[in-house]
Amino acid sequence: MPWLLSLSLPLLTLSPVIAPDLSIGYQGETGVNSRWLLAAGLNVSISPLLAVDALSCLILMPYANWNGYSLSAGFTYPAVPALTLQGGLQQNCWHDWYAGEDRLFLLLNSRITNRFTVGLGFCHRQPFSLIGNRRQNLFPEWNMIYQLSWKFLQKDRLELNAKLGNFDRLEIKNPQQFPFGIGGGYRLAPEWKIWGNCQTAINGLSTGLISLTNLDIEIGLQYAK
Amino acid sequence: MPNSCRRFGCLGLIIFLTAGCEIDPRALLSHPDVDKRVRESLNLLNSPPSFPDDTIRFAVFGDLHIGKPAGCYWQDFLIVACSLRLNFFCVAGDLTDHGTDAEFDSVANLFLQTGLTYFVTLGNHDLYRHNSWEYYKERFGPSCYAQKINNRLKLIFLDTGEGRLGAVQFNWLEQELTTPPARTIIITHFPLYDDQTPTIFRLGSNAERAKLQSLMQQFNVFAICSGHIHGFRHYQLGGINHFTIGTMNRALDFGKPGFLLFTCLPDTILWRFVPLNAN
Repeated sequence: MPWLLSLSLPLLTLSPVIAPDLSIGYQGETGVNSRWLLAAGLNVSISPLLAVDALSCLILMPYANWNGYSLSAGFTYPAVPALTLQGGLQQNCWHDWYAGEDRLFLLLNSRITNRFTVGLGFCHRQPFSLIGNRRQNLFPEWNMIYQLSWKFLQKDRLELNAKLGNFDRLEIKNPQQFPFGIGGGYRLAPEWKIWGNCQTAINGLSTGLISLTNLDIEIGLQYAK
Repeated sequence: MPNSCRRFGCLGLIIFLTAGCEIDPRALLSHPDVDKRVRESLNLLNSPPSFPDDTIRFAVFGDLHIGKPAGCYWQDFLIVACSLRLNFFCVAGDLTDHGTDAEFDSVANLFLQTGLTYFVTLGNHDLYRHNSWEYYKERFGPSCYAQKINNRLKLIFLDTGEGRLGAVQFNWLEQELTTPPARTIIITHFPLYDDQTPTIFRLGSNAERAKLQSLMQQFNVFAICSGHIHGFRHYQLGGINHFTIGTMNRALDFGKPGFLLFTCLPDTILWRFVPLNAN
């Protein structure tokens, strides 16, 4: 089985790359959310084929509290185009109204070209209520995950992407919200990178009446060695 | 590309995307948003009705889609309504199919002919013309309001015509839920849930769903009744009855056409789904 050997050899030649990052962001949705967040993440590439990612997020304003976390692992199959299978879990809390949501996801990403990535997967949502300090599970759902990313600018230090997708490290929006935006990164030094994302989302697609009610902005600093 | 070309391009894209739909392309982006409609609604007065009976019986249904060639089961409803001796009926939006002046006229006439009291809110189809909100408001008044019934029951109508509740409506709802009477039923167009593998036909935002569910649990709302999906479903979540109330429309997503019947007794509320003749 030479394919198995080709997969296991890079796994055995461990050369971990540890990339911590710290980001600050704003998450806004008319009527329900308006909060500033601080997130600390750690991405560890155990080998070129295997990476794990952890993120913890705090609410800074309008009150200080825990917002959520995510844990995931990604396995890359070095085919052409490269395929990455990512699985993990996320949790988000809405303390204002004693509620939250656990999510379990599986996502297959394919880097079709150096500039274009597509991804498809699914997630299981488990909303819960914390009224009376008692966790009560509400109605679970299976949702589709999709991701399209196009790197439309790539210079020596700078890259910019246009994105359409309902998945990010901290949140999985409903498929019909069609979140879209731009993101990018700038390499300050060989080991330091500053990055940012800005996105909005459509609400009410099934009505045929479009309104943009979300705004998510995030800026972060990553160190990779 | 010159600006005029871009503008024509955008317009062409919108026309292309909406070709064959019931929606007027102008309404796609320029409809009055939910915050504006709610503000206007809250300035409109509605007088509280009084019913002489101890037992109050009322029907809740949605999605008449008057103007749709396939038609609806209105005549069947009238026969059943007469035998049930309803006090009033409530409609959870999509009264019309295209939101035109003529369609709203037809709906108002149909409702008046019943001789019954009725309460309505709007659905997405009722906003499918540039001036649909004005047409609706002229005939039916507010889309977001609370209606007290004999000081025993409160019906709260929420405007989810564009698939969201918005800031103004949430603020109003939080205040409204704190005032008596305690027994409350919410009626709106969009459901919060749509089974475990949902279609796109339920409230889009997870945060809005979580907030609405939490408010209902905190204030012991008896039920939330929604349309938009043409079928009947019932779940109980956190002590709240979630109903997708069934439809009178001939275009069904599942199940039988029909409506939800509530019987409000002095100390309890009973409910049952009443199917209509689907032959």
